[in-house]
Amino acid sequence: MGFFDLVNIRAINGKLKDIMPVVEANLSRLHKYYDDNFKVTKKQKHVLLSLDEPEEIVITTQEHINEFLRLKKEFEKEFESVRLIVEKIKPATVFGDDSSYVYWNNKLVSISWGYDMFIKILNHRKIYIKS
Amino acid sequence: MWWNKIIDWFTEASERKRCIDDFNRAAKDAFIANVAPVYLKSEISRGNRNYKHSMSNFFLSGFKIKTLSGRPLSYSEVESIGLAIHTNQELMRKLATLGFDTLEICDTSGSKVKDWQLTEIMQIRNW
Repeated sequence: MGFFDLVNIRAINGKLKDIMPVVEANLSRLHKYYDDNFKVTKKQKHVLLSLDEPEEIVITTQEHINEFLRLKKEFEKEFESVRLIVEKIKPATVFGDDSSYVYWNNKLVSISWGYDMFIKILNHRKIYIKS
Repeated sequence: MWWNKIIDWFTEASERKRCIDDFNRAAKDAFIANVAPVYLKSEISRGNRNYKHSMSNFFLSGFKIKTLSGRPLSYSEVESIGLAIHTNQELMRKLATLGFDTLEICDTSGSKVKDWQLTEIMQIRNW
């Protein structure tokens, strides 16, 4: 690893230290908005067969859906820009002793895993729009 | 004895850190709760050396607020953030006594948009 690589990695690490919490906060904001504005209720699938597990549905308004989509887009944009920054240090660290790429990549993987789980739960529930 | 002063330096440093941490925690909570459209982060900077006062920290005397995410702030919004801070008498006194002399706000690229001299504002307001 050359001197300029070291300087570059140091600068990128400093930047990532600043912006990685922003991506995490973006995801927390998305979670919080969903929890606050998308009311989850249980609904019986069939009235006659009451032995069935009740289905979880979500009741919300169109405005809340629009705002949620805006926040989701903002999170995805922020995540992608940070991912591109993390990829920049990969070539310089992959054969060296520097483990910063592994550290930041693990952070991104854990954020992405949390996001995927959240989207799975979201898609699992039917959404009803209040007029 | 002069070495007793060393303890004061540590107290002041921890107070300054607490002040920054409090601000950052509140800014993060406001962003997550969707109250603030931008993610703000404060840190200690070198400050503006023309703004020094008798209690200024020798090297690091600036209270810097950075915009880290969200849309870029307009100049009037930056002024509003500054106004919200420098109209708070208690906060201004606290910042001045903790060795700060400059309040500066930076945009997402990290360049300074505006700065304020703390003592000048306090003199104007007769604090």
